[in-house]
Amino acid sequence: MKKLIQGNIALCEGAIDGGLEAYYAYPITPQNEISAYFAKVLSKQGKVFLQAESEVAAINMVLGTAVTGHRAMTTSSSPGISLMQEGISYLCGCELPCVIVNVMRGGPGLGNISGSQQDYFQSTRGGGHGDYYHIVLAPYDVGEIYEFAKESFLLAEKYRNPVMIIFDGYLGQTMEVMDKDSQEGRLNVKLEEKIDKSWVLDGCKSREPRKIRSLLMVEGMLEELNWKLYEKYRKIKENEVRVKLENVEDADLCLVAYGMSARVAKSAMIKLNNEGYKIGLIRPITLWPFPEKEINKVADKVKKFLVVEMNLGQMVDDVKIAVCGKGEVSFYGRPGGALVKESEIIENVKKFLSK
Amino acid sequence: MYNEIFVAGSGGQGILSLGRIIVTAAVQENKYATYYPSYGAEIRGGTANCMLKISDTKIYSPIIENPSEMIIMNTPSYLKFITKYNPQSYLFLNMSLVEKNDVVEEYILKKLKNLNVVEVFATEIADKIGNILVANMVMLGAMIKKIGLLKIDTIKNILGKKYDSKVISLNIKAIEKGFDETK
Repeated sequence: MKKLIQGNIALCEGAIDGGLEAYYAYPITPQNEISAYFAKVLSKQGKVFLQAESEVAAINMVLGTAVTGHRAMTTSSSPGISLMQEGISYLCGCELPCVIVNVMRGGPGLGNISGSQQDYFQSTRGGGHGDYYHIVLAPYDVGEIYEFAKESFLLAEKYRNPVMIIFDGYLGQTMEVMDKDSQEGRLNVKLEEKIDKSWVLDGCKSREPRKIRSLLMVEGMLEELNWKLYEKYRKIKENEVRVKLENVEDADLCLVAYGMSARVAKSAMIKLNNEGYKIGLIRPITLWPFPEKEINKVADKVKKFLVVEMNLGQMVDDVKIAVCGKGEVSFYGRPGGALVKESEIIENVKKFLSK
Repeated sequence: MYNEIFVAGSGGQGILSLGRIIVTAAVQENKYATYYPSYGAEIRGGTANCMLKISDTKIYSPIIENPSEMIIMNTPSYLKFITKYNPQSYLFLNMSLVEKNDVVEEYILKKLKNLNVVEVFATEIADKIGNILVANMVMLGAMIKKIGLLKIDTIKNILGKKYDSKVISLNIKAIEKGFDETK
């Protein structure tokens, strides 16, 4: 069924269809439509909606729900996500599945309410303390926002790990047509075995008590946990990388972009290809794990990469690591509060090609 | 067919509603459409604008650099956006609330030679019908007269699903007035 829908609302519908049971958040623009929608809908469905007193409270409420094995989510925008980092580190340490959404706005500080992609480092490097990662999904249209939200709980439960969905405020505010019946944009999360729920804290009346904690004082326990996490992250890297490659086969230059930047880049690519240029597009869908091997393979043939971001250069570092000296990596971006322009991408491509 | 429409005015003038109605109608007529709103502080009287793309083929970037059509509802938007975005084909001005300025007019004459400027006294027309709030619909009528784009019946159909009959008839009257009074 096709319908015209705003990005933020598509996220809500996806989360509900994906089995969301409890939602906690504190208001912040440009994602307030999400809380407003859930406030109306969730309690009628017998689910939990709670406007927390702060972002710190919201993320800890998510932890409290996740520990009981129920599907919990929080949403916020950049400054609010910064406040949640301690909780996210604890969620990763306790290995709890949940979904966290960042509808990114411009920073640093309170910045302003228009969109940006300035939280790439924060999302992919672990914004909190400790040696942890969470899966980061970057949808680029409302259809993908819906599908990713719907499958994110399963992905989180498969690995007992938080999943973060990030998109810029521009995409959150954009309305366009979504087709729920279309196969396009699905993550198709595969389960080799049944999801393990043997860790859940749901009352120990007829069994031995269980413990879930991230404070591990006994000698060797913390190292053991970190090696266990390391092994889990290795598996995620092996199984869950998703990337969309277009026209890369005989390209002279590849654009690399995600989210809204990838849409502007795609428009630029189409125009350039119509003019006779050979331009490809690499669109990382999982930002962590990053499609390092896939980009490295493209670099066997393509020798020029132009990274486009709505920040002043973050993902470009990962592209350089992936290309690993096989080609040249250049960057075009605009910081928070500004949109990347199709005309400027075209200009940068032509300049880079003639170099 | 490919239209890039930029609508700007002040919060409370129905800028974002107008944008949503246009894209909803376009989708109902089986076109591809995107709507991107931008607004300032969350108050009546703040700035508000939206970017609409309507096309027969799939749209990737919802961002507009040079709109084909521009609807301007007040003086601040007139001063800010014409020179910033260079509208290409049609400029619809709400003359009830736009005070012209020599610098902008000279810019239009020199830089935007192919631009058709359509002047509509939208707020005054709306006031005569019964409510200044429907000035946005008067502008919609004027735009449909000039560029076609949408069927008035489609819009009637959409409004019918959202509002009661009194509100609908006022809005339809506004669209028809805008259509009739635009030459």
